Amino acid sequence: MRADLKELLSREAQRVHPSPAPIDAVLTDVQTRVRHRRMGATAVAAVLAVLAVAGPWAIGWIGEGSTVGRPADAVPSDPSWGPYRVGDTIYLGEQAELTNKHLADPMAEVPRGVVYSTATGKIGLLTTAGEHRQIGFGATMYPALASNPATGWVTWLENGPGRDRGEIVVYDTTVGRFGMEVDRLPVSKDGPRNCFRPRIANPGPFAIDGSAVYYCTGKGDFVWHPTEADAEPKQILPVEGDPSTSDDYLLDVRAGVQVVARYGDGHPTTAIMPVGQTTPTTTIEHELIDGFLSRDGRFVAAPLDEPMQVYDTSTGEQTTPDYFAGQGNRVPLAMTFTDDGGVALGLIHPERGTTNIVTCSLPEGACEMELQDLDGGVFFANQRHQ
Amino acid sequence: MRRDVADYSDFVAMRWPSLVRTAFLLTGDHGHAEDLAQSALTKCLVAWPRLRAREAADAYVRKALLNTYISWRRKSSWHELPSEDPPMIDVDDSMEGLALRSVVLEALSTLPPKQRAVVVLRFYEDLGVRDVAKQLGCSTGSVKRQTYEALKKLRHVMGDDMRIASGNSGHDEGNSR
Repeated sequence: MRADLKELLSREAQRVHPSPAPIDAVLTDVQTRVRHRRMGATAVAAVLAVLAVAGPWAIGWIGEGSTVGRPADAVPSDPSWGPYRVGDTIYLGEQAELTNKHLADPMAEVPRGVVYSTATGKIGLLTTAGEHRQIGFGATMYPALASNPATGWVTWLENGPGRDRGEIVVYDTTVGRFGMEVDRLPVSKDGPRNCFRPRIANPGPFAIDGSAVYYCTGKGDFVWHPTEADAEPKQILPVEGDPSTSDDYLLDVRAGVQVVARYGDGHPTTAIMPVGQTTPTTTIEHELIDGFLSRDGRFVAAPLDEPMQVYDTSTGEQTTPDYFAGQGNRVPLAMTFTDDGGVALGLIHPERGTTNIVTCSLPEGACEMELQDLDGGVFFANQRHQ
Repeated sequence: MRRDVADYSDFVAMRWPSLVRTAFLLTGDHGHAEDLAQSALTKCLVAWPRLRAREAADAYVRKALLNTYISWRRKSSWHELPSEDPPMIDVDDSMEGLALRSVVLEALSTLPPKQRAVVVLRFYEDLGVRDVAKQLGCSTGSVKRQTYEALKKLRHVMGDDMRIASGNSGHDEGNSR
């Protein structure tokens, strides 16, 4: 039957003669076309605008064209949204600024600055004093980073011995001039499970809460306490022996709160519960791809929703501020939580490619314009686990 | 590896026909199929700077296609409507072929979205159980269960047509490759 059903399906499919590939439509005209079909128009507009300004696909070696110096006068000294990048430049307080055309999206805030990655896989530390140094080399280009901004730990995945092997590196940026490695854990990346679905990310670490490092492999989601006497990693998901939870994926952990994406029965939901529990205290009837928590665990951001949304983790209700007010036809490009309990958004003008940064309080939703018409797309450190 | 707009354009040109055909089997409608394929490529464009290898892009765009299809099907306004802009379909060379085609599409339309996706991935894309599970983000057991249920329904709807077309009892469904 299998062969014949395959033949039937193949014959059916071959009857279709697709129109020419809509390359121009996808690249330039897609915004209008897609809006009519309830797709991700804002995200596309944002990406197109960034491409027009910055061209993020140019890839070379770190060091080429890299400069460190004083930022422009307009840069706030200690923005509540932490380190951020505009176009090819990372801004960090009053003293530090790093320009490199090979910078990638992933950044992670640490007490003395920011850890960043590049399109060639290099991982660097930029300090508030304006010094920078390479501290690692990721297993992939655009290596994903996760940090604990309170302790200064940052983590990433490096290549291990063998094609399917990797090593999770935990690095303490607070030690010495440029930090030092805490430990590394050999892991097997292979397995039937897909790290790609809830986080759009490869296997590797995606969160640090306290001294617990959370990571995903093809076998599941794990927690590792590198400084504890019993440092053996423990599997969190899927829960062994309980097939009903085999479609669950850990999204983020902060302040003892965990967010789990559940895909069972074709109806994705998001479950929120304290670490160590399997029964949700709150359920959001929605899939939060790349969702991430505020530092206190009170809110969860849905950066790939259209438009970007914020949910209250205690009630599951949306508490998204009206960040569009007064922004014309700008669309959200980036979102992160601020250190005073609010949220910051980068809103880009699709045609001009300039970005405004707006902050809003939570849950009140009072919004304030912080920076206007920045030249290029904005990305915040820790805005997502990539 | 240098990836730029030209690289993405090459990717779109290469993947477009097969994406549309897969989407056609999922939606049963040429217009919806092209919308679905374009949506998947649009999502791929958004993620393109993060996709490290061509294999990752292939997997991503297929996953985007499936997720978007299932998402559309969840929405109450989604219906499998005749296309306003009919596809350019070759006239089949036999009445039997035409009849069988309509039966196949009708049979597929009776399946829930995930079961239909499983059938298309396993029997058209020729993916193994494990790969289907990866694409749909579920367990291999779930794929086997969905395959079993889907084939049971297809047999029920297609009746003799299926038996004439298949010529065997179909004991291989659900096996991992």
